[in-house]
Amino acid sequence: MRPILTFAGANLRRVADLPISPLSGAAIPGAPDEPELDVGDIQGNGLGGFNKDFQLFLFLRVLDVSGARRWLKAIVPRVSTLAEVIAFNRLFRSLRARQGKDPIGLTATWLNIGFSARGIGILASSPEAQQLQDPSFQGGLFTASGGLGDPNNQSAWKFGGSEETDAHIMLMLASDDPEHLKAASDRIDVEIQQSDFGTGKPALRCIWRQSGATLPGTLRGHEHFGFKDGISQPAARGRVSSAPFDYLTPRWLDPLDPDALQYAEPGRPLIWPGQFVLGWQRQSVDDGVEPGTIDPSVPAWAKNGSYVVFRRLQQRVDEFHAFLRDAAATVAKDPNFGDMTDEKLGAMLVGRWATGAPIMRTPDKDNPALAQDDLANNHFRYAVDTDPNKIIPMPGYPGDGFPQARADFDGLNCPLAAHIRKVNPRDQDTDQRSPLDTLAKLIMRRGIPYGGTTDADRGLCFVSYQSSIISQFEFLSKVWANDAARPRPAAGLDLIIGQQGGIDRSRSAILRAVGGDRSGLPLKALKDFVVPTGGGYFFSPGLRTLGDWALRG
Amino acid sequence: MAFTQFDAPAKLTEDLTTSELKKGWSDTISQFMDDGKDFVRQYLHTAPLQFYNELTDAQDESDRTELPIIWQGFPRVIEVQHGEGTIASFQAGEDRQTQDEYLEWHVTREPATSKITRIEFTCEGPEYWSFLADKAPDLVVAQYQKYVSPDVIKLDLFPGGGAYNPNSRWNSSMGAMHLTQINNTLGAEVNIAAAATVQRKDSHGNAITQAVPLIRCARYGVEQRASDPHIGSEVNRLARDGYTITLRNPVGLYIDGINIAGITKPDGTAISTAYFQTLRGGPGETLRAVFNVPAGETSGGQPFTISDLKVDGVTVQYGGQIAKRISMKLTGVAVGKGKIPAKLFACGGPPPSPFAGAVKMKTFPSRA
Repeated sequence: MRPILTFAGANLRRVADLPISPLSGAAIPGAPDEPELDVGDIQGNGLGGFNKDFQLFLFLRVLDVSGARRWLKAIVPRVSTLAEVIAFNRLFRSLRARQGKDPIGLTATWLNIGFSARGIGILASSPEAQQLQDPSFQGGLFTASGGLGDPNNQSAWKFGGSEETDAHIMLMLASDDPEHLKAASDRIDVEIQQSDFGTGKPALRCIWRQSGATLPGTLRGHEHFGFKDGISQPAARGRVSSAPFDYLTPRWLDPLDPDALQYAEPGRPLIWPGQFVLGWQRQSVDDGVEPGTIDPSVPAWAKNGSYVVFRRLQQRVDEFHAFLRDAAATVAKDPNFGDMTDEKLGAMLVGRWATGAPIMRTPDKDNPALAQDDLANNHFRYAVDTDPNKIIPMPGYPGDGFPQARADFDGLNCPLAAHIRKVNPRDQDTDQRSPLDTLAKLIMRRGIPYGGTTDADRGLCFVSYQSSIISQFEFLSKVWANDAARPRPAAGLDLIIGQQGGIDRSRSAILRAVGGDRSGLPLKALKDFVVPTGGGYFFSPGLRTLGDWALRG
Repeated sequence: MAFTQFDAPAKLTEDLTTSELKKGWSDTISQFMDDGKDFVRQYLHTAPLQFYNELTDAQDESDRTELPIIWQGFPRVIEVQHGEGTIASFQAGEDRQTQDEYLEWHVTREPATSKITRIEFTCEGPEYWSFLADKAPDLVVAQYQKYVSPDVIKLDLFPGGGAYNPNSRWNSSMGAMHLTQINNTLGAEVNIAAAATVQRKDSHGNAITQAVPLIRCARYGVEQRASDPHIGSEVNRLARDGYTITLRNPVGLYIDGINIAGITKPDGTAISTAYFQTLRGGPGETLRAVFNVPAGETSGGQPFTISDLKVDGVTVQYGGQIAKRISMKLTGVAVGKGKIPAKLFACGGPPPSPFAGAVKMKTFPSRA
């Protein structure tokens, strides 16, 4: 889980996050008007972020539509809105700022809900389900799986590998307290049992329960391979009230820094909310500041909804680390890579050291202090030298004194195939034209690890929010992670999440070194380290639409 | 590089069978290169050009760099209009005149059932074929018979015994031998590469570095396409780095590859790479390919057609569903990093010539 904002201060471990926009009263010259989001209608996880250490995903199939609608009616009042999640997150931050640590006793338990295309067809109507024009959503994840390069293992998925095991409904429960989470899920279990409404046949069946939890101890905020996760996240534009500067995402750049028009924090771009929630202004691919259009194909009932991708990704942790050891030893025989270690190789394949420090800013060794500083750990460009940003006055913050990233166009410091570079090439031009086109591909990630550190079956509950599954999530996987020549040529595949498709799962990435051959050193992985074992494509509608479906008879 | 001739696209040997043909084609490419230089010279005049003719202009090759430039084969303009991956987009993309990313295709259907039996993909330049038609017309007929249909006769391609018709039915309604869309030409490819070596400045005098503002400024193509802005920005970046640039021999446009993941037979199993056969050119340098069901393939004991396949769960109804999986390539060559100091030009056409006397105005093929 991403901490709210931290930096390496002399005496402070976490920054004093202000509960409201730090820029209230201060306008950024030339800034566009941002819309007031419908925070009472939009579900809370996509734009707000649950940010909880304990989650439970319940996957249900509908057996009887009228019983399911009655069940839905009962839970609608408990579906958490963006307004609620924001209010809690701000309160939490405000208390922590004053106390200097996480406040004791302040907890919340959230619930969000999504439906597959088939689920909407059942609970609403088939014609309405077909009005959601994303072709990948219509097909479902089990249909898209082959095209994502997944191995031919869908019949072994826990759920979602076929039409028959496709979940119609996904419930997302999240809490700061595991007992509160259990209480909430126990209640749901009872309600599902009682969805027979006296007929003896429950209207819903739970086909899979998936727990997720922040890893313990020093792995807090890390995923199972050991890498800090969730550092880079788009900053959605939009306001949460009618107050002019009451932004969803606080703005930390000095209004006079030229990047302040396009970034919320150093390295974190502002993106119009229509990229994550339907019916709002999308990102323009022609203009980095002004909005693009609202998607005209979105029906009125779908406004305020989001597509949610869930992928249960098993991680072969021991294999991954064995690969790093063996491959590093082999690579180190090349005189251009004589200092290669498994730690460094891992950092090159991810793009960050295990602490989260970006290798663009610290190519030779990890830098935990840099990793801790949220105003520094995401500030780097690839194509040109990165200049420091000026941020708003922040008492106690010593500033970003870490070495700035130097231009690395050809991927000598950070391989072109590094995971974070493959799925977000930042300021580099790509086969999709320009960095402005890249901004329209990005996704909001809300995943959480599953399984304990000694469990054979452990990995990531990958969750992403986007307004187009085909053009965002699938595009990043199929066209960029899985293609050796894109977004930049002669890169190789993303060795972490890239998939070759077909029976031969081997894939290569290219490593290059200063003074080395331009063609680089190919590094081959024979097997997947990340294996999909379940999932679905869902749509999380606004609350009003949920209520409407619940009341249909 | 010391070579003595520009080669046929993909270094094909089956067409340029005489030394006369080889030289004639090399001269054709060389002329494209010289035309590119002439275009750039309108801006630079006597200052060093950053575009060169590899055959005639000796260069210090010690830091020679090759840069593959990759883009999607399915028209991006269509996706902007109709949505990505939608049936509407594939339907619109079936019109040959919309296929403007240097890839064109033709779908053959069984008359009785309308089932698709073959999809031909081509990225062969029309100039190559008009050159062959001029010098070796019988070879052209033979190649059409070999690749498109044995029913092709000379009069179909050379109506009335006269000039070659690139838009005969064998290259439009009945097949696809080479590119026909007005912007899909080798000349335009060379011109866009040359034009993009001209560095541009915005109204504040700063270098324009991003793909879309650059193409808007220099107007060398259509900004909504995938190909033009990307080709232009990649070449322009090399120019800003001070390189001198050309296109790699063999000059052409190529299919770089196809991604077949998620294309399934009726029984749900994945198709093999044998479904996409390269017929002219080689891997990473393909000029012509055909997508069809290999002979003898069955599913559940039954034979089947392309129309029985699914791409990402959707039954194949249009060639565009396969075209969407194809990526295209041309390769730039750059030498002499940092040697040419930057000269920035304002947007639009070249500044008026400082030389007195009329200069013969030349027209240059353009993708715009």
